[in-house]
Amino acid sequence: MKTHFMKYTLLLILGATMLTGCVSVMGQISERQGTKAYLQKDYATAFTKYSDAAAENNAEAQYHLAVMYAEGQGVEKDLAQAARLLRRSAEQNHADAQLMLGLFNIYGDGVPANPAEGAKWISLAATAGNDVAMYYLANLYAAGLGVKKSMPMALQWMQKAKDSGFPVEDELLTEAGLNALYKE
Amino acid sequence: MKQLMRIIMLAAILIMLLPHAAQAIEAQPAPQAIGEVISMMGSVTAQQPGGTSRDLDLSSPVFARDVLVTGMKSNVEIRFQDETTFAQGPQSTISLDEFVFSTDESASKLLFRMGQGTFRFVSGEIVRQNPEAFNLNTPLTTIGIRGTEPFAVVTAVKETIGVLSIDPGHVVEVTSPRATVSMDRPGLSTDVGPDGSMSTPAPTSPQVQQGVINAAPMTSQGERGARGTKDDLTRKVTAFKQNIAHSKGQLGGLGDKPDYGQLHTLSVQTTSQTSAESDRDGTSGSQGLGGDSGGGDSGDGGSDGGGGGPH
Repeated sequence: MKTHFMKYTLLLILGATMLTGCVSVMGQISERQGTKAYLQKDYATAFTKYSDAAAENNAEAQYHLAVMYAEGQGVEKDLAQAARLLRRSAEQNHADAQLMLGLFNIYGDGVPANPAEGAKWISLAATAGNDVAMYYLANLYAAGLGVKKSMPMALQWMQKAKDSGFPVEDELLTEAGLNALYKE
Repeated sequence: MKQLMRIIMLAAILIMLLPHAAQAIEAQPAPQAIGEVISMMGSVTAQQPGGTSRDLDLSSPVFARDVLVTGMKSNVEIRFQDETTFAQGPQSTISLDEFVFSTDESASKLLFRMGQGTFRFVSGEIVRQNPEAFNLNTPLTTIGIRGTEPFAVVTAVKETIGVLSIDPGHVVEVTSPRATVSMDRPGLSTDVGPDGSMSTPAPTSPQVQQGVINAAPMTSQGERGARGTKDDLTRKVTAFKQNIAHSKGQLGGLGDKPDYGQLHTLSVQTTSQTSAESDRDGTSGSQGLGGDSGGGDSGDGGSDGGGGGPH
């Protein structure tokens, strides 16, 4: 009896793992098909494929789908829906989605403006290595927006952005240059 | 003696004229580049009227009055000073007749003349400054574009002119000697017959639209184009890297709200760069999204300008 029970449990676990794996692979396939269609400007197909993949919780698809809603590509523009999709993707640690969700929060797009929340998401993306996020985080520190104003932190993140490949202008690596952008 | 006098006089006249000649030569300003190549495959040349043909490569400058010619299995993408982006497919010719980008908006002007082939445009600043001053000609038509991404496929027997994307509220107007049509939505195109007659704009077939994008891919939009040769792939990776750096450089501070579309294009370009690197290094599996899409691997740098459409 015990062996039977164990066998069934094992089978169940195996089945569930395979199913999850299948679902995840299906999501990946749909996402790739969506991207292929998107690059062909076939927004109708891209929307369908991305929606399928997003329903399987594919973070990449959720990000792309969010942008289609934000830009009104193949669907009526809907920033609130874009924000919701970005959030689902961001919570799965998709750095591009975290950056965009952060900016949505900074500028009050699709969500009520909340600079602190915005800074939090941008910071997550920056820490994950996204150089564009590092650049924006540096700007947030220089402006004192969503975070306490700090030139040392701003300069640190600008340098990190540059080291990670962002083409930071030389002036922005100096306090004077940053100050010029965000004079009090 | 008389002969000598004549020679001396001639020499004297010439010497008098010399400074003026020098001035005249000096007064000719060095030609200013109006744009540069940001990606290409295969072989692309540029030639000034009466000048010699120049082979183009990544970052090569182009000048007003250049005639650009793409060979077989070739395409080129050019970014102009005002951020207008343009792509040309294989076996195509265009003449960059006029290009002026000025802080004085009324002085800005763009006039390009297409010959046969496949062409795509994404409008830049000149269209925003002075929409009337942005004009594209095909053999049969004039295309006025405002805030849009039009394309043209020109063959010996007909032209197809359409819109890939369009900013809301904008219009593409196509005028031939016989008719004028307007398109105010993306995905529409009109067919132009040799007599200048034009069909009512209708949805562009997926084959034609795919054909245009595959023939004239734009790395600035993250498009990957055909796989191409090893040299093409190396160039493609460089093109993506440079394009990405350019796009990042365009991002302002917090004062200008970021363009979410632009940020998204950045991430698409980054993914496409990775894919191009895999292709170049021969490590890609079946990931090729560009290579296996319609017309790509037919090996001519994209379809010959019309995909499966009837010719």
